Amino acid sequence: MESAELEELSIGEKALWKDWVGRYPDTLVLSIEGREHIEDNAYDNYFANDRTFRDMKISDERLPPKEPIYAFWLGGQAVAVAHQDFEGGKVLNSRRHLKKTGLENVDLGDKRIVLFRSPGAAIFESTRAYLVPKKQLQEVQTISNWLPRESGAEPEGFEALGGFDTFWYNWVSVNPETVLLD
Amino acid sequence: MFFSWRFLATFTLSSSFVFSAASPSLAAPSEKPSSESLPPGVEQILPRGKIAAVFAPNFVPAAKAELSPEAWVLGVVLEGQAKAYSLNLLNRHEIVNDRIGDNPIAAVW
Repeated sequence: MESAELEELSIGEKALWKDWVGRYPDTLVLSIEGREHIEDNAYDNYFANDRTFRDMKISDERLPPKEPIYAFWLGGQAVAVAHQDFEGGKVLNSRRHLKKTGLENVDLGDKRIVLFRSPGAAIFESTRAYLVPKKQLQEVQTISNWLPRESGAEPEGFEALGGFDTFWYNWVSVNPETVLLD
Repeated sequence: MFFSWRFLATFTLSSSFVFSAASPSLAAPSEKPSSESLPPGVEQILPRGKIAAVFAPNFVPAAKAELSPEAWVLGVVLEGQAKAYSLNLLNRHEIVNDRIGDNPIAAVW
């Protein structure tokens, strides 16, 4: 695989086992040395405190270093949104909003960005992020609990954004030109 | 590039699946670069291979899997095939080089 170009796929998510196996009863499960899971989590403390890895420092103070964010690329521009800013769902639905945040060159065409996290979501819960045709925005905002995932199927016409959840300091340290949306 | 990608994958909330259409090989690297080859400003925290990636993963069906209901997993569905990887297991290996159908994928945590 050395030097091979890798493509990030929007095909995975983090979920509780009970939810995952409920949706995919035929799922296969990774087994290492006869075990499918261990209770020990070596990074419990890391996720529970405000310390950065090896006390790494960043100069960008737009957010606290360990603020959880959803990060993605839009028209070649690094973009981040704090988890707390879209709990319960959010539509970034106006050209004016994007222009105000420095993304005036991004043309979403007839689509809008939809972000969703459950209110009070666990830190590991995957953000759901889509490009949604404008004509379906009403549909998004009237679905019970916004975007229910019981079936595992994505709503028709929705295009998944290829981003991921991380901490602010991780993302901004390697993407200092990040546009922070609110 | 290697440093930043590995860093993000390991110590953040990120998880992802990446795949290469260019090379289907999942073989483990046979050569280990020395720390002398690192570019200026890059610090080697652990020697390469210290956290061993998985190159030949085994799987069991859900009915035979032992996980607590509240265990977090990284899940993927591709071409109708679902696979789950315990996050706590991934903590110890960070990368699982895998395949779904003809697609080589890397489950990264």
